[in-house]
Amino acid sequence: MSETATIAGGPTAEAAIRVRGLRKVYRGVRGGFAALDGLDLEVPAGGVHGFLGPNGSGKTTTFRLLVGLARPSSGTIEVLGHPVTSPSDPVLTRVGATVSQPGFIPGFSGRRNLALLARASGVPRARVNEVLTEVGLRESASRSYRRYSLGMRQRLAIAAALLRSPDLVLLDEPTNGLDPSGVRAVRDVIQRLAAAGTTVLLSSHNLSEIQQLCSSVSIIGDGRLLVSGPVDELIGERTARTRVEIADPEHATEVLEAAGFTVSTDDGALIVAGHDHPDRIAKALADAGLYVTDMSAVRPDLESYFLELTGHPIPHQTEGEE
Amino acid sequence: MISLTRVELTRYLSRRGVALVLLAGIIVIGALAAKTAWDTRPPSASELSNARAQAALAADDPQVKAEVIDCRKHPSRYLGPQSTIADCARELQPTARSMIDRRTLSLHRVAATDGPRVAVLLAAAIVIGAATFVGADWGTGSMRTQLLARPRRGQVWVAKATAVTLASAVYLAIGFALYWLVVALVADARGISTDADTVRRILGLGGRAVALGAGVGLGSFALTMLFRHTVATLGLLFAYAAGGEVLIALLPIDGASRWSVGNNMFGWLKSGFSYLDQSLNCRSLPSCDNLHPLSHLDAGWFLGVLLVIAVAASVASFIRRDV
Repeated sequence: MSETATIAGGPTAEAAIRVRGLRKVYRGVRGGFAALDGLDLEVPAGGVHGFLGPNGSGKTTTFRLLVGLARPSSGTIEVLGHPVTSPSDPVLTRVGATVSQPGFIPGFSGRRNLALLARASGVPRARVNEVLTEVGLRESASRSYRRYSLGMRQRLAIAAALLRSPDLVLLDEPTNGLDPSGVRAVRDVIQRLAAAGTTVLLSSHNLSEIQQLCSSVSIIGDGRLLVSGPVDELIGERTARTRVEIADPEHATEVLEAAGFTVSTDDGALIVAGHDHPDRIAKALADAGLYVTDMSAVRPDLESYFLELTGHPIPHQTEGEE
Repeated sequence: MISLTRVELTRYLSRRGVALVLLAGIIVIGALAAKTAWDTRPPSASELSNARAQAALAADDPQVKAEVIDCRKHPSRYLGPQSTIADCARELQPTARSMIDRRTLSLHRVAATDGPRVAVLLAAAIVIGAATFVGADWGTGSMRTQLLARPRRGQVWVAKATAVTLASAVYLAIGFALYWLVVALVADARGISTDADTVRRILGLGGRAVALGAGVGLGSFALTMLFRHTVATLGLLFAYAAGGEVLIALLPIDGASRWSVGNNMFGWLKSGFSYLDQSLNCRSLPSCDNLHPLSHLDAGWFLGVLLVIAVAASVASFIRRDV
């Protein structure tokens, strides 16, 4: 495990993905570039696991290594309990994935593209209509892929990933470029998959989406794991604050600091670290003759936590990450 | 595996770009057949009457008359040993036929000239078609999607290669058969009979042409899988065609022309093919012949080794490199 990484909740006995010391160095004429630099990652089996990181942090590279599209320079990958040692590893047939931008034959219809993929992977033809319905593309399945919008292409890629009814699904920015109804359709698919027991690893730039859909999350930066654990635990208890509004904030700050609290100010109000003991805050102030006019818990969202961890603003982009 | 190959075959034949290139090849072959038929057409009545008039005029030419008379006196001096007086009239006396600069259709001759050209033209269409098919797979990201659906790289390579090779062989067989069908129908309509030896010759050429089609299809596929780009493959082949052959001819090594792909391709197709070794400087040698025969077998070995090298590099690269 890297020095900076924190895996909240400790390693799970049943991990859908277990990655240790993963390194990926791209060689070029001007030397090498490490896209991943000793990444440790553990994705618990079942549920939706979020995968976050700034642009260029190594998310797509991680996905490509996990599905055998690229070979690691060093490190180990275990998927569904089996080590992945080659791009043709049999366990990869139990994994469905979308990686980077969708790639299909432009002149073929969505249905035909899927039908050929189904035949190539030994999936019954009836499954094509099932997955098309699942992602809401049944009506436009006969249209040429060339005429698909970006959102439709994304959904077709998800449909392709679901063809083999995989045990593990990796989705790289699946709602990228989708209209609100498309986003909703994809989120429904993800939730249905998770409810059916499929493990979903979801890479997204939409942090509220991660917060809504994911039970756990891993955040990476510069090719390393920064933090990992249940979403509630990471953004709730570890970084909770208490907002205190009071008539004399300067005096109140002195009192609270003397009582051992860490205090900062925000727009005239006091922000006290932690929200475990609001009664102790109120009592310390009352003992000094200061009375609180308002007190509330400030639970920072994933966005502020992400910013705090990575030092990067939220990445907004429409193209492939790396 | 059979199912995967059928999928690849469907994908190959359904690609619009590939279909257009292959269709263009057939159109060119059709044009070549039409040209063969036109160039050997029997003279029309007016052409014959003009030719007869010209022959009569030429026969009255005193110089021609003098030559015929002289030839009759010394036939062997004019026409070589064993020539007779009758030969002088036939060879030197102008006729209507000799006034028309046009050969009659001979399937034997077509098999030696246009037959190999047809095979090479169809092979060129196959090279472009195979490179277009695989290049588009890489360019559109479809290869990544296919590998996600079927993460067995070896199988994917073999299925694609089998599909391209089969389709190329069948395409060349169809194109070649169409050409000869047209030529044979024309010959039949003109009452020209074909002997068994010529038929054997055409069938032999056809077999070798089909093998060439399969080989160049596989080779083009293998190179494009290696370079991952249509333009890279076609660019390399074009650069070779434009400069490589010249470079080989200029190499200061005796017999360098033996390693020319073009020579070997025609050596494979044409019976009794000889290549001109331009690297051999005959002026410094007492007895020397720049023309060297190249058998089907020798040419086949050379082309086969090139194909094996391309295939090995392509498979190794596809299995190991990141996608």
